[in-house]
Amino acid sequence: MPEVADSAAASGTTRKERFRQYFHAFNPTVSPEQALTDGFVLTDLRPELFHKKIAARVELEPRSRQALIGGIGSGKTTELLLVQKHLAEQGISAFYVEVSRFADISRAKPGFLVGIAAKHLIRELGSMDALADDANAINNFLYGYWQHESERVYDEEPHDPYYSFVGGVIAKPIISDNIDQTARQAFERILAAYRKGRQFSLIIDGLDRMHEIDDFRRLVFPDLSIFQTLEVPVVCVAPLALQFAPQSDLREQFDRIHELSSIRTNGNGLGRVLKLRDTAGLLTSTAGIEVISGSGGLVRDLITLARDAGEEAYVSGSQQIEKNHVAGAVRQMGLSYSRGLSHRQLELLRATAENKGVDPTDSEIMQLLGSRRIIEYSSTSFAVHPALSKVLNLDRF
Amino acid sequence: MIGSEPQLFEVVRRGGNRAPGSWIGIVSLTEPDEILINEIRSEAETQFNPRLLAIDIRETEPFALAREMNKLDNEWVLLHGFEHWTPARWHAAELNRNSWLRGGLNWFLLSPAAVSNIARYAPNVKSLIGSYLVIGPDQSQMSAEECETRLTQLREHYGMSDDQIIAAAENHELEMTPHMVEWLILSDRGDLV
Repeated sequence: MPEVADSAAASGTTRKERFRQYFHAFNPTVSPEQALTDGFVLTDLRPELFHKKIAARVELEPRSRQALIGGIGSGKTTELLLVQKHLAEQGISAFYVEVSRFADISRAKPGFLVGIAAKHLIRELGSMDALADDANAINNFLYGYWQHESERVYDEEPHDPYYSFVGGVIAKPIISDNIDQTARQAFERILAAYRKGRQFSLIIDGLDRMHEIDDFRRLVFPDLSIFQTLEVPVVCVAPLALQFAPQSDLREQFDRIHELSSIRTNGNGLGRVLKLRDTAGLLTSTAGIEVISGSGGLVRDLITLARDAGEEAYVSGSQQIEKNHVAGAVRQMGLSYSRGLSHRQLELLRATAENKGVDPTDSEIMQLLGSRRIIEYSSTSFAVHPALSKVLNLDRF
Repeated sequence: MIGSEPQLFEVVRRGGNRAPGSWIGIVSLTEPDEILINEIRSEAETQFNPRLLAIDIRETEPFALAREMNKLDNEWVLLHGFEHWTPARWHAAELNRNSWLRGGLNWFLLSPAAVSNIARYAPNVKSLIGSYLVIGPDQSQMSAEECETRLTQLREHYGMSDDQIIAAAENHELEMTPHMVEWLILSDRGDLV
């Protein structure tokens, strides 16, 4: 306590400022890009160093297709950004795209990844007359166009009943599922223009939230085939269901599948995450231990618990964040996880807590894994989320 | 939130002190209405004086909503109308979740029905909201008599007592339907929501 008071006095920061700085550091909704910029990311948090392995394969195998799998809040986006950063340091251009910022994924059609990649390359190349027609073809492919019955094409809606709208792959899609050959050829020419002296790779984020693995297959695989043919190495996040998919053809579409399982709470990695962000030392050591334990090794939950415990401490007028503040936050998190559970899911959670085995091919188990109520530490090691376990009184097992 | 439901000023205080870009979930006992929205706006202005925009999203597709929100700078955005969202719309929100990330605070004003649906259909959205801030019955514009009348209706309809419902919730044997969430909040046990 005196140490905190002395350092606060020395630095001139008020209690409010210290907590404000703390809340800024422990913000679960901050973009991973911002977290990287702010220096809040530990690049060696996972001993497997996934980003280096992924980047190495991108460098060496131009036709490679790699998938990254992990549950909610496991750090997938952070790993992808580290891949991009690592490749940039090797002089390789890697376009990171979070697809939901470009397209409504719920309405997208095959080809949209090719279209988005083409638009990125066009932006990078700047204005090039030689590619004007190709750029136009890509825009029509993505957003649709008006076509006269004579097949003449317009971008904007004409006031004439002889025109009909041909949908694009990310707007009012009414075209077939086959990727338009015009768009594909346009992409090839754009790619060739970009590639003069440069390497290009693609990092795709945002597709992991598709619950049905067949939707992922239908939407993404046609584009992956094109990228492979054109020797554009691709890294993309994939739905967690791919990890347990019985259909081997799905897994065989990727040269390598990297699985981000949760971080063991008995190591020192998560403690280092807390220490990196809690520069004012607001968390007592016992509170920090409780935050780590309550998170189950999920980084986003670690940050959320630290934030919520900080909130409890702040509103109670405390100078530091104590164990009891964390206990309240863990309970609230557990209650949140307990919402919407069916009786069968409760039974499955009890069975998991009793080490009776987990069958990932069971759709209810997949939902529990997907929503992080069950945490996977390895292909054979599963546990109920500790916050949920406390609330369900399963921690007695 | 620990223990009994916080007053509205505490809910706004907690949420308003969060870092820019945070997502804050407020659970209201009844379907959020203009009175509640104005109360939140008034409380927010008293404490923080932000630029706050309330958006009724009942008829809005999630991706279209993202486009509108991203035109705003660091305003606070209060989203309401989620009780009208279908599972398909929640699924679309789940897929496009990252398109909602922005610099200002996003407040999600939720009814008990919406809380159930988020848990079931949009766990990724839920993971960014985190724990809920629950507004007690007196902040949902219900008088003591109205609360008691409503409790009587629930007891008679389900043939159960308040203690039985609370015990079931504490033992996690209670399916959290909108009626059950409402019952717990009326019984001053919104901490179990």
